[in-house]
Amino acid sequence: MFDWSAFFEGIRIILTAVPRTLLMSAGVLLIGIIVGGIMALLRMNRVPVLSQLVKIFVSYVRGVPLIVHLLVILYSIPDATASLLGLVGIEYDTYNFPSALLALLAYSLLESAVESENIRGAFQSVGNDQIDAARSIGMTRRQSLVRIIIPQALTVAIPLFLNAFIKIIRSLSLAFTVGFVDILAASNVAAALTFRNLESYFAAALVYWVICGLLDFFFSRLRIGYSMEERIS
Amino acid sequence: MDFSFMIETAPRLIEALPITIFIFIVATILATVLGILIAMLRERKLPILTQLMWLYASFFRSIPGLLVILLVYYGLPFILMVFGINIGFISRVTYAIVALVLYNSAHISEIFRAAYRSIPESQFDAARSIGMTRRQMSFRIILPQVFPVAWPSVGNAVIEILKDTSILYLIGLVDIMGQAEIIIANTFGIYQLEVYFVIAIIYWILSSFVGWILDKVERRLSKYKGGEVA
Repeated sequence: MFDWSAFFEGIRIILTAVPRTLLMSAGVLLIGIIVGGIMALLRMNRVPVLSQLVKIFVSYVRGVPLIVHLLVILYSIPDATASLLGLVGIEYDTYNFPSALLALLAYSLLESAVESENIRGAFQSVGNDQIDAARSIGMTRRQSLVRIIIPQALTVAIPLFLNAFIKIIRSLSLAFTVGFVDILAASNVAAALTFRNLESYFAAALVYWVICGLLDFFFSRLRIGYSMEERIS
Repeated sequence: MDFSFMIETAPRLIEALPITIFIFIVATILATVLGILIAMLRERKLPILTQLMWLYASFFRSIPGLLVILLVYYGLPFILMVFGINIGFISRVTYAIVALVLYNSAHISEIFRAAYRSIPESQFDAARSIGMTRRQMSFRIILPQVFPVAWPSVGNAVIEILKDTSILYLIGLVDIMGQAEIIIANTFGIYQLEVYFVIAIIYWILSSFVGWILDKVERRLSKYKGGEVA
């Protein structure tokens, strides 16, 4: 029957992986927003070749499952690094490639595609008439951007970013493919130690439920507060 | 990158595609139906059932898909054995479909709930005042309006289901990813990048195709959007 001591042992092991997972998610989101912002800029300004490349990249990222991306990256980036370093004359063993760095690289790259779409959508949600209005009262391009467009785009984008954070926490469950030990991978470790699969996975589910449920609750509270403020002003 | 090997492998991977597509289609239909049911139950405000459905949606929305698959694969036999049901003949495909339906119906129910909320309260009163029964109101007033609103998000969820099929090989299912594992093992692991790259392209084509169909349906449905009088 259900082995409670294995369950609690599972929770104890899993909790050690929680800070690492949250930190990794935050890092991925941050890099994703920065790189995604650059991509969104390229597409919104219709930079000749680059905007098409970004479009293809976004379509590729959205159309291919995460685990396939991770496996492709796992078997390409360390090798590419090794051969690049080989050109300079440094011997590099691909097995030494740090797994946390690989996970960070892979997830940020994929997240940047998602965030570029989010940011683009947020900017497009600000009507063109507002830009015209800002220009007509004599604001410069920069002024209208900083005072009119960005504040409004942020009200749309921030909830999307917060949602993305929760999604990244969950999607890190596949990071074991590149060797990063997140919550689910820790539960696998617990399963191997206690010989109880079901109990360990239930422990992981409980941890995920608490973390994602709490974050969802706080973020939706934040969102309600945000939209209330908007309505009053 | 060995391109001739990639071209050689593609047919062998596509051989395993029917099982992926079968699971995808069955899981999509069941998850959508179940999602609508859950959304309706949650909005009907039935005493215990509504809370249970809240718990269900909250649980499956906050854990990753892979964990759902593992829980079903290890947990379902456990539950069935308690009820004394023989689990010997339950195939991995069944576990896979059950897991995908459980996971995705929770997400889809949330989409339909949001769409349901977008219908103004006055329409319910209007339907009631001309003497429609509850069932008539659901089928003639609510659902026709809910669908066009929900469709774009449901389309995204459907593509998510397609992409979720890629992790089913982790419970030993030989779908396209399972086939990839076999090919890699047969070639002693020297062509990993090539095989996974072919899979990436297959999935890319597949999800672009599904996205294209969903777009067409969306254009059809958008005719009925926004309280247009037909």
